[in-house]
Amino acid sequence: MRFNYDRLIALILFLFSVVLYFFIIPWGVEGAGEGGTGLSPDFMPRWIAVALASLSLLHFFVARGEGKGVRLFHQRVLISIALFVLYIAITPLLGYLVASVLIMAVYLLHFGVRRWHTVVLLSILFPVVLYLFFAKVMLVVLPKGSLFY
Amino acid sequence: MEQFLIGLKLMLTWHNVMFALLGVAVGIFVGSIPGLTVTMATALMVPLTFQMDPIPAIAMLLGVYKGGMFGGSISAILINAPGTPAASATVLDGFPMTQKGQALKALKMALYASVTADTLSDVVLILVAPPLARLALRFGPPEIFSLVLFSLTIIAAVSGRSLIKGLLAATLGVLFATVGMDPVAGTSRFTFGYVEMLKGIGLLPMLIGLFAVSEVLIRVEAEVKEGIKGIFIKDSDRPEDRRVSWVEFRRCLRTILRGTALGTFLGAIPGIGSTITAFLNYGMAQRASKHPERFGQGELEGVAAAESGNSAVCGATLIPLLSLGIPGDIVTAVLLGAFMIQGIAPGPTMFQEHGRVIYALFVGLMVCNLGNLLIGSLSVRAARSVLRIPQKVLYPTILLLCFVGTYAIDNSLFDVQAMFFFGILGYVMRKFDYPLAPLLIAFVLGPMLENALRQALIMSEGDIGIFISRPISLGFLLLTVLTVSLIAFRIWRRTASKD
Repeated sequence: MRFNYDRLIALILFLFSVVLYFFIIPWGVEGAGEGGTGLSPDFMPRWIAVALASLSLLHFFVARGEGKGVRLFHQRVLISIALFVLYIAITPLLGYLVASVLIMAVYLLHFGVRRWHTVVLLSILFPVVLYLFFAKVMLVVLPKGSLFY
Repeated sequence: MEQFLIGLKLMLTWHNVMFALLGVAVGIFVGSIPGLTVTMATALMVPLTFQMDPIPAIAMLLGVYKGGMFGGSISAILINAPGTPAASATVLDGFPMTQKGQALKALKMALYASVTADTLSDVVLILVAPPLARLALRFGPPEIFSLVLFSLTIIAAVSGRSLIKGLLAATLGVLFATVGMDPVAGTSRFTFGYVEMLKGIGLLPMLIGLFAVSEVLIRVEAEVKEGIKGIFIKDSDRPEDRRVSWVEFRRCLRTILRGTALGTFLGAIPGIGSTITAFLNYGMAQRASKHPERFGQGELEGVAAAESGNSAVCGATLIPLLSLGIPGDIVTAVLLGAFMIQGIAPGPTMFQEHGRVIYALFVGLMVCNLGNLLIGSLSVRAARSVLRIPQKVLYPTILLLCFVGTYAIDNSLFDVQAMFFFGILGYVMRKFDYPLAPLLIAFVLGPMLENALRQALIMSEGDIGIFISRPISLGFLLLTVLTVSLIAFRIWRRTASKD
């Protein structure tokens, strides 16, 4: 028998809805419980938590786990994700242009582009075209990079 | 009529027409590349419309939508990989035609069927939307609540294989919508001290993450398992294999008209996408045909059936969006966001406050259809070179575009982080077969649902009887219960028969 992922997800969602109802809502909603029915800011979130709890319970008992055997986060996906996190992290330091050229090059290599002149050309050309369009035409202020200023 | 003439004048400037055509061209281009969907294209185009006036901005996005609908069929026909999910049914006969050397014929048929169905569907939109909006103006909070609840339930029910999974996704969507400033009391909710969270989760970061980023992640993974399919195209030299004659078009006209009727009717119901209509019309055409055995072997009528079915949805999905403010699918949800950015709230009041804009857009739809025919004809020949862009170059390009596009919305890296969070969420949801559309549309409709619910309860001083004592509201609620029980019953019977 295959492992029933849907049951696991249902369980996680159920636990989440309980935590949501008893901890996150009282803590995260300012002015919870004030103002009476319909006026209180926590009115809707509480109903959502109840709906989530009942649906996930139902899901737990009904789910037959028909989904294909799933293997999450293949190595290539993990590296793609890690690279993007790195991109977000280095942009404030290096600035948009430098960070983008670097990340684009690494991505191209990661996805299997092997000819080095293609990598160099594309990873410089594309970020520059994007930069010209957004910064010069659309007048968006892209991150300049704190290391250089 | 007078408004229509004003709209005509507003829309038909060189500037506006150019942007509409640009949209169509981008749509066809992007739609034809497998891995780039229409949704992704519209999502990535929205940040570009910030500085524009409402009319060219929306006309361009509509152009992307329509162009993409046809563009998806190019790769479906040429390389057996639908560029967009809606073109899946086009593969059935389109690719066999290519194998027979009739690629150009199939592409032209797809284009003519698309444009014909789309244009007729737009006419229905122009006729139906204004009176529907007038009716909707009489809706109060209880009616709006019941209507939104009804629409959400249908969307949740039909967009995946499992009713509960759809409903769970929708519930999460409504939850994400509550982040930020409370609309009634003005206090902060789920912001956890972050100032950036006060304005709520942005629609575009969520959208770009859920659809563009997750798509790349899923494809990167799939490629490892399946490898990339090679491209092989045969092109016959015989002229009759390279064009669609008038006689052939007439033969398919019945199918195209059926597709138009089906697509327009189903497209107006929130949640029923163009993929379903394309397959439905394909099935109906096959049943009605004198030679059903030819379907799937490269039958011209099959291409016409699939393409008219999916394109007719384009005009019709705008009916609930413009007249009620309810997006029926993902692309219209994006359009809703684009309208909001322009300071226009789609819905019944839009016809009074921005009547000119609406009529200009009606004209814009027609411009886009003409553009589709024009640019589509040109691109049919150029199509083959587009398909040579290798996926490994495509993915980094998309990821960079997601980054800059999201950043440009608000000059905020926080948005980029949120975008990426939703990218991973979308990836996980797709892996486990949880549909994304209910989450997105529930997120968009969440504030409307909450406001209507709380206003209604304030009106009735906390008595929930207000939802069943008003006939229109009661009607929608009964419809909701009826749909849910029908679908639940069908699923139950299906599983029972399996055991």
